[in-house]
Amino acid sequence: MMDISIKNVSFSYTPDVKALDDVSIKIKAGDFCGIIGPNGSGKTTMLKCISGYHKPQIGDILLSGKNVHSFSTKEIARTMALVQQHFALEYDFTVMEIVLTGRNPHIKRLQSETSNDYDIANEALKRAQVYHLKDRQITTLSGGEWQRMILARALCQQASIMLLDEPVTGLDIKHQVSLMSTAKRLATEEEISVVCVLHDLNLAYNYCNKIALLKSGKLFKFGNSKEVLTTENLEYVYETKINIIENNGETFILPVYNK
Amino acid sequence: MQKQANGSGIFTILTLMGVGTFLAAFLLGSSGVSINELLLMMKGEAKESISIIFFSLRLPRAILAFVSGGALSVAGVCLQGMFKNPMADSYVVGVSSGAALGATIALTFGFAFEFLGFGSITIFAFIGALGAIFIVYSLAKVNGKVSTFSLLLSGVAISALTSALVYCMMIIFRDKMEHIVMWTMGSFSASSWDKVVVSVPIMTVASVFCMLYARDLNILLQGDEAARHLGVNPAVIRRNLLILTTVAAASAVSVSGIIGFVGLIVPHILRIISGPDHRRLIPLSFLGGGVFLLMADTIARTALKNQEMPVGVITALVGVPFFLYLLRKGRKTV
Repeated sequence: MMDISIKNVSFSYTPDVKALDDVSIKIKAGDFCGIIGPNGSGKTTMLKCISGYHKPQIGDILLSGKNVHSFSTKEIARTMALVQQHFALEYDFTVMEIVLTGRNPHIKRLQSETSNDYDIANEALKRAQVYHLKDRQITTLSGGEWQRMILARALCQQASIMLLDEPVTGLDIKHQVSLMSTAKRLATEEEISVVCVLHDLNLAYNYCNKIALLKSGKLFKFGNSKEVLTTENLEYVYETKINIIENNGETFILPVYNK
Repeated sequence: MQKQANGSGIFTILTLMGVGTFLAAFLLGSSGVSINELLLMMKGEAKESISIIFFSLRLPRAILAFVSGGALSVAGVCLQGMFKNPMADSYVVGVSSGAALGATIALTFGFAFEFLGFGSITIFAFIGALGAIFIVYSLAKVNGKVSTFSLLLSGVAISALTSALVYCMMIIFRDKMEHIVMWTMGSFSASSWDKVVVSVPIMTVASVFCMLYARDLNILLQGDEAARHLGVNPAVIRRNLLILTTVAAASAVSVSGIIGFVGLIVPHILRIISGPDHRRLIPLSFLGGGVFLLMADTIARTALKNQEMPVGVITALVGVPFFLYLLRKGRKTV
């Protein structure tokens, strides 16, 4: 179990433009926190600051009180798993071989995977619903199967923080729902802190209990998703007319289509 | 599972091929040695002239060719893996051109000294190779980070520069031109036990250390950001592997001259046959590279009567058509 404190973080890629400007939030163990905002608002930058990939020029990222930049590479990997955006890998590894790389943080250089590591990998494959694909070549996978394989790799790490960077972009609705549900259960059932960059406001509304809404690198609102995802906030941040529709107890966030 | 069996099958085949190529290297040549004579020699009963041919010429030469081939292939497979680029090779990042410049300096200025039994050419080639890589690496390093593209591009640029210097010296010192050209084409004809004793352990140890990074290489293929979350520090692994592969390739180049295509084609063939897992690929590359280069050297030695061919010519004559065939077959397998 781990909480994440982001304290007054500012980060710039170039000296004159701040990609993140004085952002402070606290994510508790068991939270499913969505990071949303328009293109270029700093969502992915914020995720990369949390992961320690970027070092903020100002401010600190603390994981249960410990600065992320004081972690060794192995500690980072045992603490935080990452489901990255879809990437190309044109090598004929099998699904199992990729998923097993999630055990690397727990294995010493001269050791190889034990039967325990295989058990954990098999369990992860089942939870990500790709067990039947474990001997398939990764070059034959569809986009949805690929992302669930990467989720299985992340589960294999048994980390207490799960970072997801636009995990469902490009997936069909069935795969979107199944991947988000699996991630949601990690938060609710195992008190893993899940941080997820999302474009889809409906997925954010339905799966995340906390939302960080960004605009131009600044944190516009942070809080419970139902309080943050309001017509007023969204219209301001996205500079677009928004309809929030209630129907049979379900909520839908849609833009007003200007035809 | 099936792949695993496949891997050990190839291992057996390559080992058998290794034994075969060593035998061929012992038996074939301008003065033939028969199997009988080889067996007699094992018992210490052979004629002295045959013993001399075997022990002071063919054996050290075969060992040197085999281990150099192995080291060049291991260096190639590691560089391809860490740069995620099928064209990467020690020669692309500057080892060969640096070595050529070093050897040319020694040849033209006629430095004649020996150190640990090594001639000045070998030593200058080794220093040249290390120096070129050091410059390439320093140029590619920006804010402590080395990008793949800048490393490969600096490698190409430094190679062009050093080649230009070599050509300059060839024109100025015309009488040394043939020497330089022959050296750059690569040959094991000057093999000796002195070279074996020093360079074979270096190449072998560097190759074995490369194997320790096999799992890290598999993970690096998944991208730098993902690698960090899987417990692999990309910058540290790249730096360590660059040092190891440079030492391995520079040792090979310094004792044999420039032998192209070994580090490029051997890993590609094996990747197609046994899959991309570096835990199999690196040891297989060592064996495969050894077999390939020893075979090429035996052909270089015996193809023409009374005349040795440069081994670099043989590896290119075999390597280029095969490489083009792979390119035609489509990038997916390469």
